[in-house]
Amino acid sequence: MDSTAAPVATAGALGRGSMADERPLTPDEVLTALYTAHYRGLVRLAAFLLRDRDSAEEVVQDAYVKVHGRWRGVRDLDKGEAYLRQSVVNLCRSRLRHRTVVARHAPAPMPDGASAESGALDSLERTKVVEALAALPLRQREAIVLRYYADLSEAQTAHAMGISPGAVKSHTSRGMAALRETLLEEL
Amino acid sequence: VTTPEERRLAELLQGEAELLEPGGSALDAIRSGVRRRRARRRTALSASALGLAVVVGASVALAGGGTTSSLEPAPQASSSASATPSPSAVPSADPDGSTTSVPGTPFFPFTSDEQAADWAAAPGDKAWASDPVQVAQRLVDDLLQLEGVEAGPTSENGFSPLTVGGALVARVQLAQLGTAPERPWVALRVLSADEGRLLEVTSPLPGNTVTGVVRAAGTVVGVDESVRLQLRSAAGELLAEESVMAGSERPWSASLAYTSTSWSLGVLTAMTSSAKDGSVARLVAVPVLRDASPTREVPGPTEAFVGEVDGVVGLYDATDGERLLQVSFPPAGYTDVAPRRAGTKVLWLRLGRECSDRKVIQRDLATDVTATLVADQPLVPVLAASPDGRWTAWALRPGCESGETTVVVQGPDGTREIGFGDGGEVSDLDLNDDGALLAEYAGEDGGSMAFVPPGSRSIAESGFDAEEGCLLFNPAFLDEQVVATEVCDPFDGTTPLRVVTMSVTGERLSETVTQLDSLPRVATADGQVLTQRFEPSGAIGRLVDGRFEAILEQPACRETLEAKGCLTSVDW
Repeated sequence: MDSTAAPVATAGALGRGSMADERPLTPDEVLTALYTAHYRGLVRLAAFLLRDRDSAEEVVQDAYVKVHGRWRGVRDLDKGEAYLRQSVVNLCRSRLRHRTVVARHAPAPMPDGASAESGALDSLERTKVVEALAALPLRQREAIVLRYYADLSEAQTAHAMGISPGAVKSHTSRGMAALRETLLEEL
Repeated sequence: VTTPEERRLAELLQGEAELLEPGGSALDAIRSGVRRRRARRRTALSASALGLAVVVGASVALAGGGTTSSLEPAPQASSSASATPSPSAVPSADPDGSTTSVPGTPFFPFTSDEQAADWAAAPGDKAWASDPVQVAQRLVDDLLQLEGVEAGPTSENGFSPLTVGGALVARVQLAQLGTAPERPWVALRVLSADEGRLLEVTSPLPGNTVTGVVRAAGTVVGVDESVRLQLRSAAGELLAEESVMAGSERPWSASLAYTSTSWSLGVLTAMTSSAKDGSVARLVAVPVLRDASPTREVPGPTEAFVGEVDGVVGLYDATDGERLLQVSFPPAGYTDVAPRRAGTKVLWLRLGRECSDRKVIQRDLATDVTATLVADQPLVPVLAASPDGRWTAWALRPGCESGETTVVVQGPDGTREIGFGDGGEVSDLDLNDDGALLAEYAGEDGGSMAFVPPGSRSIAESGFDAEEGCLLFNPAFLDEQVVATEVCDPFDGTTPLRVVTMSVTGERLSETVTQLDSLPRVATADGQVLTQRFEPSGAIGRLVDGRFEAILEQPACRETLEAKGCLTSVDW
């Protein structure tokens, strides 16, 4: 996932060469900076959890709107990213709970079909992995996606999921075992 | 991600993700969402405004009903005519407290009757002091260090004209100092050519006392005049310099902060220059005295707090939020942030234009009128000081934006460094009087809050775990315990925050649901918790059993504390 935001939420951190470089960013500047740096990655993260591109975009946009009100208390952009990720994970959970209760419809598939450049074997393997991932319990799926797609540390994953690092380790380990079992020797 | 299996899984997930490209107009959609949400919140706030006003009014009434602080405000780090009347009477005081025989404040080449008597006994290399014209000339040459300015014959009332290319630019007021038959001439002030109408310094007045900074003000005739200001010691050392633009419709003012304490009497000069060749066009010089009082009373930690407004650190009254003292005077291009109170000391970070240009600065309000440099390194903008002021901690990151973060703890037993790992982000620190450290951080080795015992150089297994679905922020020592703010799902400002009290080993002792709905900064002192709420009022206040008691309302800061004039980063 993209992670290019500067750690200090100042204009200087965005590379503006003025005397006011170290002034705090306005909320809209924070919004733009966090959007540019993380929106695409967060949509992809949400898509893994929801298996639905449109819902993923809605959830991430909701997360930006909700977290925006708290940015004046956010002292650095990395923390803003952490808030967003946490919010996305929570909103995905809510969205999935809602789906379960309201309708047992099959989620819309992720954009399928590999690009022409992709190898057929890679495409097949990816499809199997994504399907196996979708079959995992939610917490395991979150842990796997945050650790291996978003490339977060156990601590960061714990923050995003709102659980302890030990629980992250446990969910990841169980998720990997389940994937292994489903895919046999595919991985 | 270390095993081949994990690497392959990461590759496959990355490949799958890259197939998804989000739509292009999402930022506009988000901004619309933000506007809608604000509109909803405003509606809700106006509905609850009456109730809030009642609560705040009660708090203020309670605060006002108590006795007012018996402590004098901290020393004013400024000079103004009203604060320190000009010594217009005879005799006047010299910097050592003795008296002189002339009206005003003699500042060149002698400052006291005693010095004049010594000169009368043995003029030495200052025989020229018997000639007022030579005194005026040496004043502009040696002390003010101005070129092309000529002193002329003295008038009957003791004024020597200063000219540049034959044009009058100023007049030096001179007097004979002392009681001996042979008395040296001394300069008392320099006035603009026509009694101050062309260029005038209204503050400070001759003989005013300054502390830490000279707050200068005056008038100038013209449209867009550049007024150059210099503060020099009586020995000619340049202490501070500033330029301001002004005109007939626009009086000028400027602050000249000095750091040197090796002077007791100085001179403030204001001048304008010729647009043609840059020579002096108008000149005023005013003698000032440095306040070198050894100690002062400083309000205690619960009676005053420090905070930052527009990149300047100040000390504020904890009963009404009035500023008692401007603590920091950042030079142009610098911002002073993250002030921390530690006994009579205040520490803060001075941020320059570059990440590598960051400093830790300290000022002891009781003894030092000037600030001192504590550290000059590529700092992460977090800072901590123990309540007794003996321990200080800051965070280094040599690569500025990347690399290993190290927290430096400086105290009575020397300096120790605590590594937080490559990529570790330290976002808050606190120290107790034993030199133990609390840190809020995120790193590869797990944990978000660490307790580092006194003398230790490693992050202990602290066990500061948040409840499921919650996050802990802003750890701070409170007596023998630790407090932190817990934010719980949903993280959108609709859930009240909790203040959690824990032992240093992470055992939960109590938790208090607060009225706060957004993450505040929490500071502690004498068993109290000071905080700042950002919505709905941007107010500073105390948390008492979870109830917010306002000290200072900031209605203009409701939407954003980044607005000009908003007080933030408070610390007891």
